[in-house]
Amino acid sequence: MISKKIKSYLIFSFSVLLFLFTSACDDLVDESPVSEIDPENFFTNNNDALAAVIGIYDGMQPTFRLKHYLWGEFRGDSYINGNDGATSNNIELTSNDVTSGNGNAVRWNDFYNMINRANEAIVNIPQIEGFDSNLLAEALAIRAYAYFQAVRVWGGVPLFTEPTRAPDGLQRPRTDAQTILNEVIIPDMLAAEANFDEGRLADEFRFSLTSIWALQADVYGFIGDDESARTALMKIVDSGRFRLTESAEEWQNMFLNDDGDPFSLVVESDGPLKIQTGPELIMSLRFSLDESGTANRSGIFTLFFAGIPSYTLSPALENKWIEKFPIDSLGWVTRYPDTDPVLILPDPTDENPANTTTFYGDFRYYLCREGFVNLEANGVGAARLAKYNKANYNAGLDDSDIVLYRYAHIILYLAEIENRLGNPTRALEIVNEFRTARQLPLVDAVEFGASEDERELFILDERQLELVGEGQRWWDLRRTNRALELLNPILDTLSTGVPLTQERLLFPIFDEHLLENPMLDQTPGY
Amino acid sequence: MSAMVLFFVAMSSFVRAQEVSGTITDINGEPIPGVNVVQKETTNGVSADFDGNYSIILVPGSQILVFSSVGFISKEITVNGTTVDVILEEDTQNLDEVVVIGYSQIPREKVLGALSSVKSEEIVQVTPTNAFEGAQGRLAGVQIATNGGPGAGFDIRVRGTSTFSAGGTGPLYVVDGQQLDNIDNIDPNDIASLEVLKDGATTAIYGTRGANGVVLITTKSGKSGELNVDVNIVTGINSLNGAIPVANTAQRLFYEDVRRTDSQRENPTGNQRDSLNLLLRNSFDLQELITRAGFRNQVNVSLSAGSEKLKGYWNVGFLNEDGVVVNSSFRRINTRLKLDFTPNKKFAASTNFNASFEEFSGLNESQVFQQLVERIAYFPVLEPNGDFTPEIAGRQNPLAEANLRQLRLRTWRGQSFNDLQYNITPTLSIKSTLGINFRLRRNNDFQPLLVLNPRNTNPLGSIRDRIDYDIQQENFVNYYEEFGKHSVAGFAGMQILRRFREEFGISNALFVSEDIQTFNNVDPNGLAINSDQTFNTRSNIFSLFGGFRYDFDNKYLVEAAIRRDGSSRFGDNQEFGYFPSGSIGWRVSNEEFLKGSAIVNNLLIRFGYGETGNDRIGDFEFTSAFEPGAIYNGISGVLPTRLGNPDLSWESTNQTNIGLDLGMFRNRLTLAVDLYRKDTEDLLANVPLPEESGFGSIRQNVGAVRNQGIEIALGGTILTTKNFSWNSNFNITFQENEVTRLAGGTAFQSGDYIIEEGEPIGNIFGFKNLGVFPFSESNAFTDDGVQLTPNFDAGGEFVNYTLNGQEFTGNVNQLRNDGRVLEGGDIFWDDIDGDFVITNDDRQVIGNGLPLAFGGFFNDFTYKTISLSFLLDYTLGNDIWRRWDELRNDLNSANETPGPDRIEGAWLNPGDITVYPRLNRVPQNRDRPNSFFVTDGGFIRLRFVRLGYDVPKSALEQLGFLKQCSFFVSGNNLLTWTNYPGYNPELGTRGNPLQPGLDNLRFPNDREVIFGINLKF
Repeated sequence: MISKKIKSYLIFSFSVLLFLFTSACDDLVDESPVSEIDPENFFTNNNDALAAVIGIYDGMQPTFRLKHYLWGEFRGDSYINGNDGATSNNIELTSNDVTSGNGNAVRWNDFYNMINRANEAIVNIPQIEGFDSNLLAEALAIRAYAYFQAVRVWGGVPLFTEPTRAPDGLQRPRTDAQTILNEVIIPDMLAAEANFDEGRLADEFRFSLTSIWALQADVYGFIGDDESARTALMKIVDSGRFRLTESAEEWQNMFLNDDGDPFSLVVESDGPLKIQTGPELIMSLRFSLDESGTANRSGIFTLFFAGIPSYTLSPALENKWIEKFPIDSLGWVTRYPDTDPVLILPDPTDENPANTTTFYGDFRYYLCREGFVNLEANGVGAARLAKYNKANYNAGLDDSDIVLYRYAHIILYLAEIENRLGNPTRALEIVNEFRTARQLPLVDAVEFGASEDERELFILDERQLELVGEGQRWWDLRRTNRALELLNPILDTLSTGVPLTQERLLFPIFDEHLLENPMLDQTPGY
Repeated sequence: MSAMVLFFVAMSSFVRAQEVSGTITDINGEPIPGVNVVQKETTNGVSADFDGNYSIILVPGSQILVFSSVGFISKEITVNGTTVDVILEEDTQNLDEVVVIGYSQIPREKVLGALSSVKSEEIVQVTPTNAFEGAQGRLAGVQIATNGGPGAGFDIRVRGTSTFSAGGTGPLYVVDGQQLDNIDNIDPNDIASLEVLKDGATTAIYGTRGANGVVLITTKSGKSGELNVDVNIVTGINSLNGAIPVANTAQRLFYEDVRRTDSQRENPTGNQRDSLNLLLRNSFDLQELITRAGFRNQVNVSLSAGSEKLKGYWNVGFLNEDGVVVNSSFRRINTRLKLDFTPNKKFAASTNFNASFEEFSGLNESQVFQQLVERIAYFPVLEPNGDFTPEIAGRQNPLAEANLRQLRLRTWRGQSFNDLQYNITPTLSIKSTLGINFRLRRNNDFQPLLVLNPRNTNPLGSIRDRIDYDIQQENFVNYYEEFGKHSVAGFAGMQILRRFREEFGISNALFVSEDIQTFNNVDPNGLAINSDQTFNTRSNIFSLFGGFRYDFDNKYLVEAAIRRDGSSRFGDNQEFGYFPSGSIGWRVSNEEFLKGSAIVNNLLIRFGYGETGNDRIGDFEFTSAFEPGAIYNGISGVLPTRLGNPDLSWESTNQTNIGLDLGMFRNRLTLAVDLYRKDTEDLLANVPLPEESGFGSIRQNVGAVRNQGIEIALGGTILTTKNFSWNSNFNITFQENEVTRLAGGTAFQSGDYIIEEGEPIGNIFGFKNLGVFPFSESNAFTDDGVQLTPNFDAGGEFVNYTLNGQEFTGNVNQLRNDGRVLEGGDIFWDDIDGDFVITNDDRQVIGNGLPLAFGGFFNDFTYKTISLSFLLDYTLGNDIWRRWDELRNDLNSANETPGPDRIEGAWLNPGDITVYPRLNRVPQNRDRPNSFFVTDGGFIRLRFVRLGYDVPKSALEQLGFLKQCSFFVSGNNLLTWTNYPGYNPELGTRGNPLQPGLDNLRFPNDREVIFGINLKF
């Protein structure tokens, strides 16, 4: 009797167990994410599309926060090594001795991260029923912008136009620059233009028609299609949305992100933290303290105004500036008897604010230079660029916007192209329009130059002074193919300078990329 | 035991009613209260009284009395007269003890795996605040290192590092059957015993969570009998142990002077122009200002009582511990209630509830400690009005930071574990368990304006909530039967574990003012959710398991088990894993030739093999993911955050263990030796992807690592007389780690550590410093890299080079680094590729952070009621990278001051032969890691010395209500023998297994003097 009972218990308990063993195993194991979404289930409506496009801009922030300048600014002739103790990664840009271990300048992490986000948007937004073509246009514009940077920086790079969803097939060789230009950059930038509504003419912080035209002009100029570049530039001019600034203060306010305002009567003014507005700003990469995380700070003062500066303004640049616009009254009056200098400031040592001092020279020189009107504090070659900020502060608090396109660039670029297309008169007209807006003396045909070459060099100088610190100079030299001609004489005088070669106009591929992807070849010359 | 029964059965011959009485004492003559005295083979029995006296009237039947008491070896005595006095020996072997491994009970002597254990008496000797503090130095094969600071917990490493995953090195904790990832909240006074399962065969039953070893904790239970009240009161005073030498103002000024260039020297500095400057009279010793004598107060009250059917244990503990640094403290309040019901022979049920509140107030280590050792000594710390000085030159005032910043972590935890057992037959039972584990961690951080950069306009506050809870449910059957000399056991069952995590965080919210520090005072425009800290996730494990155990006459033993785990952390391709194990043992001492040996009373040789897994990665890494968190121009977006790997699988560990247990002279001497080899395959790591794919890495199963070693534990009673005894324990572990395979053979780096095939984990990868060039001309080498000797004339002018005494006229090569030729006073770096340019290719392994050996040595002396014990523990053969020292000595910023030896020992003039390079700011100082800053991190530490006094029982009797009263005074961390110059050579890795021995300066070590009282009512 008892053993029967045991038997039934046994059978019962084992059958319960058996049931548990066999049924519902998989259901008990599987689980699905709560706070993240599977990419396969995304892109269902225009809100998703907008979120994905914002994600690409979010990827642009860390990509360009320093590289915009490391790529376009420091290899030019506007800076010298600011301090013996500066990091070799920074110094080697000014001496044009870029090495393949310089991760700051040539690493791809953020860059391709942004491209992958763009690819997600470009491939998936059109699958949404009734999708907003403006969003697709923005994604296309960013991808074109990104690959254009890549082609300018490295020449050929591995080409990804589909989103990465699986871990295979990720090692690819470099696709040559021409193919990327013809098959990705140009089609993308034209498709972007076509997909924008007319209403999206301008947007200060996101791609719009005017900024895509600016990109088109840069691309056409880079491949030597000046006609097309002019067409694109004229579209911006004709849009009527922008004008040149007309006062020193208005000019400064496009850049300044500091609480010290040189135009304030109080010596240590407690002005607004960030201004960075103006009628010339076509498109900037926006940074804001409201966003969390250091990837959302441009932190560009670490390049231009670090406590131990890597870069100071080069004597070549300062001498050019002083020579063109003398800073002594005699020099100025002799050269420009009809033009009054702009900077007339109250004397800080005088109690009566009506007593003023006149500072001769180009106001931009003072506004760009550490120490403002106090030129003695840092001699020629020892001053940091103070266009964005005038004090050294925490990188985590530097939310300076990065100006990608500005009207002055458009105008001076148009002058450069008109000159090349055989319209020197039109080019001079434009230069003088620009000089007028800057309240600087006008240029006559003699000063402008007799030959196309001389005129081009003149315009390049105008651009260098106006656009210093905006990541343009190196591209100007590349576009006009003058890097070797203008830089090698300077590099010869530097102890660490390495003469440029045609090959080394490009940047090297980062060492670790070569390790991770054996199909990659190093840029020739490195 | 059964053999002894047979032996004595023949003895009873005559039958007579008779009263027998006597006294039961231990070998020291102290009476043992409450000993059970039973007339053999009858139900007739009594308990001895408090003084060990008993009296029993014998009934007809056996004339043998059995004397038994927990903790003593039972004794059977044939009655031969009316007075029988008995001396019971303490049972050092605890043959009756059982361990619950997995889902079945097993007598400790039959355990075939490698098991180390500490008992409650041993744990409390060190007066711990945390269970592992009590186990340090006691467990062979288990490395326990403090993570620094009050309440910071410990880094537990069982048999080496067998994972690459951050946070994946810790063992699994099983507290009375409940599986937990963390036991920091357990009151050490609650622990009855702590066992560590180290080998594969015993841990395999824990399947996917067992690969890093398993720590079994048995908490105290109520016992049948009267109410017992146990009160512990501890007070401790701690102080800084080992300040780091820091440059004073005079050294700083000398340094500043040396650094000036010739042109700068033409203009006197402000300090020189104003030589009476009050600032220069400052020379603050920040370490002195920031540390203090801290107090610890710890009170525990526990009650236990019970009847045959219901036993209860209840403990309430309170701990408050100040850190040695101002404004740091740890507080814990905990309570545990444990009830065991045995209403009848069929049912047994128990419930165990533990609740705790922990509060950690601390400081931002990275902001404070580096500043302590590099801040300019004349920088003010207090303003004339008594306020703290704010940030100067981008340097936070560490005193302000420590005193004003409010950094708190509070943890609320509740654990409940319940089980119900039904005995179907005496040999077959079924058991169900239900465990719930809840933890809420809340981090608060408030930074007043004074501790922020002057540009900040608002105070900042952060909050982070992490809720973790899990539910564990198990159902299993157990079978156990003995047939003659055969004993058989088996079990089978299932387990479900569901884990949930919910996090929420707001970082650096802008507060309107400092008056109110709660979030109702936040500027609405300054509130940003931290998306990395805000998410919900969950995971499941579903497991089936079974196993059996068999032995013949406790002589030949065999065991096997298997577990199948299904985990939601892996995709459909790899959802299930199987974890088998088997072991065999031979108790040589039970063979005829050793049986009854007076020397060897126990000799067991055991061999085991088992497979275990590790699933400690994120929850959904097998799928790709988009997440919110992208913000641009005030709009929120999503971003791809992960590339999924559908083939992801667990790390699997195969471990072989050969062990030997030896007991001699009635276990007065015990020896356990274990040899193991632990091969972990399919290591989970974030493998770099070509970054052009848009992703930096993907989680993959990439490699294999082998840990092998020998563990030796030797223990014994060296002397024992009536009044004096001396016990001693020694253990040592030698271990070796090797990465045996990496995907594609490619080495990878974790920070400045390199992980390479054929090399151990923990290799520090940097530049080797061969000294300092005395002259600029010393930087001269032949084409083969042989250094030339420069020669100078009497006027100090360079003449020529010689090589082996001969003038050298060949090609002279000079080392370059960071774009410049190295000069006199620069570091002579090892140029391993021979190209005379120091680049990343010249890095090499310059040290290793894993120890070669570690262990402990414990001694306990008792003379009458006085006891003295001490424990030494040691770690040998590991290196520590003094990152903090390297940072302050890199001369990178004018506002950091190098160490005093760096300043005093620097190269100044050509020809100086020095340890340190010149004081100029040259980039090569920042090449790191620099082998100069890698030092031997081995140490021997006097972990505690404790002197105890028990009030004699005779004195207590006069009081009447007190059963025991002891006092003790002890000192923790009194002495450390080490060459390491930082605060503490004992560095927990804080979760990152790949960077052991990296010292960024953390909470300093303290030295503590403790007084305590223990009362039992």
